[in-house]
Order: sequence, then C-alpha cells, then structure tokens
Amino acid sequence: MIATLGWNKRSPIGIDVGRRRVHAVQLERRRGWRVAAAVSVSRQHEGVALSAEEAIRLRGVLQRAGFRGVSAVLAAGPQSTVSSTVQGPAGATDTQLDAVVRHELAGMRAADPQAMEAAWWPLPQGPRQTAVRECQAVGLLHDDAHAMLDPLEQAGFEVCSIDTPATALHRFCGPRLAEAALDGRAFAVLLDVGWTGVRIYVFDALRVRYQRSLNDPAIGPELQAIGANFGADTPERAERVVRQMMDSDDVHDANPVAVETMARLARIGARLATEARKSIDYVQGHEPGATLRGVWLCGGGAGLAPLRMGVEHGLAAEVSAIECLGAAANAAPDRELEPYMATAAGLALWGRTP
Amino acid sequence: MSRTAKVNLMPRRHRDRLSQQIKVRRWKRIVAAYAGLMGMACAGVWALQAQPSAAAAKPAASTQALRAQDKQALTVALETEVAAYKLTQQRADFVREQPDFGVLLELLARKSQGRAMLTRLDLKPENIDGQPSAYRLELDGLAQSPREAAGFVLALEDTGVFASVRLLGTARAQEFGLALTSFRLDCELAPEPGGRP
Repeated sequence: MIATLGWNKRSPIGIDVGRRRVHAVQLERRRGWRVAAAVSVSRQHEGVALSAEEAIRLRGVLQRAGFRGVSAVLAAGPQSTVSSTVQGPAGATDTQLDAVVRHELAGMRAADPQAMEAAWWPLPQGPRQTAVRECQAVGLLHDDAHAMLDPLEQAGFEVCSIDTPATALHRFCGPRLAEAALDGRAFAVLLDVGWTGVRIYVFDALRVRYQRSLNDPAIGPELQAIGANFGADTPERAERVVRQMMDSDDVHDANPVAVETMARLARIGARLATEARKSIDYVQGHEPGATLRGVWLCGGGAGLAPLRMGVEHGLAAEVSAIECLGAAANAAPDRELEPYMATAAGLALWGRTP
Repeated sequence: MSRTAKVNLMPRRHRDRLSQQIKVRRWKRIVAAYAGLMGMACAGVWALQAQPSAAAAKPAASTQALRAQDKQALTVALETEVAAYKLTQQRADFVREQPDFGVLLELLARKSQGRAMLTRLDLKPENIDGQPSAYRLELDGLAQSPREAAGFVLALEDTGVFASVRLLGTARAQEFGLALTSFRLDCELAPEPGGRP
C-alpha cells in the first residue's frame, strides 16, 4: 500500500550477474541513499547465462538477506552488448541519429536493426568534428535481452530495466563526479578490475565518454597462481588467501612470498596503468585541453593495495577505490559495501538521482 | 541530470507490456483502495444508522432530560400556583372567618356614647401555634371623669363580648379646653363556643 502511494523509500534491486558471482544491492533513501541490503552469491555454473533454477535460488537468497520487493534492474554485460562511438551528420535530429546508431550496432552483430534495442548519448564535440555529430552508443539484441529476462521473470522478479555496467557505474560515481567538480572539459577514469577482466571507463560530469574492455591483464589467473602457492585450489580460496596475506603483518616483514605477491600485483597495476594511459591519451587527443581529474578503482581488485600502488606509479596520479554508500543492513556494522558491489549499487540507482 | 541516467535496453515490446501490467496493477490498487474507502464510508453510514440507541439515545436522553426539566418546571409552576391559590384561599378564609369588627365598633360606639370618647383602638390577635386563637383589644380614650371611665368598663363587660375588660389606668387630661380623664383599657375578646375568637 505504501509503495502504491509512492512512499516506498527502497530502490529496485540492482542485480549484477557476473561470470563467477551475482551481486545484488538494494538502497533506501535515508538522508541520501544508503545500502539497505547487499549480497554476493556464487554462480552455480560459471560463465553461462543465468538459468531459471538459479534465478529462483537467487530470489530465495535475496528474501532471506532482507531485500524487499521484486522490482529489479539488470546489467547487460559486455559479452552480450555491443557498444561503439557512432558518428552521424552534424544536422541530424535525434530520430535520425537513433536510426543511424541502430543500423551501425546491428551491423556489428550482423543482425536486424529492429531486433535490437539501442541507447546512445551525445559526446562533446571536438574541434575537428564540426561536420559530424558524435555519440556513444550501446545495443542489445532482443534475443539476448529475453535470455536475461525470462529466467528472472520466471523466478518472480519484475525487471524494470536492462542497464549497462558503464552507465550504472557512472550513476554510482555521480556524487564523486560532482565532488571532483568536473566541468565540460574535465574527466575521470574508472578502472573496474574484475576477476576475469578489466574495463576502463572515462566519465565526465554528464556522461560515459568512453569505455573499453581489457582481457589480458585480468587478475584472476594471477591471483589463482599466487593462491596455488598456498594450496588454494579454487579461485575463491586463492582470492581469500591473497587478501588475507595483504591484510596480514607479513607484508611488512621481509616475507619472500608476500613480497613476491606484492610485486606480481604491482606489475598487474602497472599494466593497467599503461592501458589506462592509452584511454586518457585517446580522450585528450580527441578533445585537446581535456584534463584528468581523478583515477578510481572498483571491482574485486580495488581492494588490493599493491595493485592500486602499481596503477598510481604508472599513471603518476593518485588512485583511490570508490567509496561505498554506507554499511549494508545485513552486513556487520564495521563492514561496508565492497567495491565490487558498485555496479549493482549503480543499477539500484536507475532512474533516480544519486 | 546525467545523460545516462535512464538507459534501458529492454525490448520495446517487453517494456510496453510491463508498463501496461504496472498500469493495470496500479489501477487495480486504486480501485481496491477506492472500494475500500467506499466500504469504510458505507460501514460508517450503516454504523450511524444502525445505532439509534447510540446515536439517537443521546437525543432521546436529552429529550427526556428536557421533559424532566419541563415537568419539574411545570410542577414548580403548579406548586407556585397552588401555593398562591392556597394563600388566596387562606386570605379569603381569614377574611371570611374574621369576627365582624363592624359590630364590635358599633357596640363600642354605643356603649361609649355620653361617657367616653375613644382616641385609639388597637385590635391584636393572640397566636397560638401560628393560628389566631384570641383577640386582644386595647383602647385609649377620654372620659369626663374617672367615674365615667369606669362606667364605660362596666358597660363593656356587660356586653358579654369580652372575656375580660381591664382598666389599665386613668389620668387627668386637658383636651379641647376641658379637664377630662384619659384612660386605657385592655379587653380580651371571648372565644366562640367552637374555639374560634
């Protein structure tokens, strides 16, 4: 009844379905957005689409974890979406540009433009692009969308939107972007360091300017290799071992294994910095005078200090993990939302002002 | 507002269907809420109508109170009227039951003729238990001489009207250029055989 009257303070459930884990976050408005519930669930089968059985299990987990309602927002991962920078004629209307975007994206997937849903947002016009109207576009085939929606709807969820990780993270970073006082010519770089891949996002105050996936410097294999030295036979155990090692005092001692681990993570950070530099150069080449105002980390690798220091050293800029929205209701009081929940939290903010 | 605030890659048809479902559900809730409100209103009206003892008891009670007040007022009015009537009746009875003092005055005038002249006559009832049981007559007058005054007393006693006639005193008086004798009498009227004065 309260929800009917519009007094519901809870956001939809942001569900970020990854290859290894499903992250879900629900926020509530209490003097700004706070985390009402958050949970991270291991996938039953890694790397495959979510099944109805898994979705039903997920719903049960969410209900037990304090989530309310069935309204959900999903993220279409980079594997299923197609994104590109699209250029249209300078005088093109939004409708004309929409048709161009749909045609371009469908062409990339060799699909019918009518069988794809597309979204785009205009990019700032560079000095050499007066004859074109440029936009960042993202598309999702209807079949892929239904493959995502059907299991969740069978489980009783009511999916109100399929968003993208880039826009979700941009939304999540809204307060930080405002704090950095990004004007039209300033931008920030966000590195989403996941287990299986890394994505680089370039944000300005209003939009996602640029996004790129990196598969090479994925931390998963590295962490697994480090964990194997300690007898960790699964990725979860390897991750746990590495995290525990990073948090222990052994790091500060001359423990050869700890020092070696730190060095490997720092090398990953340095490779990430190199890739991030390419993106920064691209943006600044595209728009001379654009200034970098911040480099942020999110994802599972954001909590690894040696990796962060490697990025800092490579970019010669201060790097920080993005802050969380506050303690989750179902988490221990001293434990905040992990940086890898940022996408899910951004999804929960869909349609709302951060 | 961010340009990327509401990116939605959900298929249009699916979105429309969801929007329709949400609208239908919202309307269902509105209708249900409306029906609920109407039901509550009807229940309220029914409750008001079905509880005359509760709702109408108060007017009835107030009417009864008014009636009681009216009755009391009427009773008071009637009692006042009755009391006034009784008073009138008592006065009438009093007047009716009073001795015929005219006869007494005529008697006094006749008996005093040639002997005395009355200057004051005071008839006083003597009450016993609030009821006049006897009358006392006080007389002042002038006589030519003390002998005449005494003769007046005897004449009154001879009438039989008075139970007693007492000469309280005589004194010389100079009135009308004449040497006269003033006197004072106290006479008690004799009661009737029935006890009435």
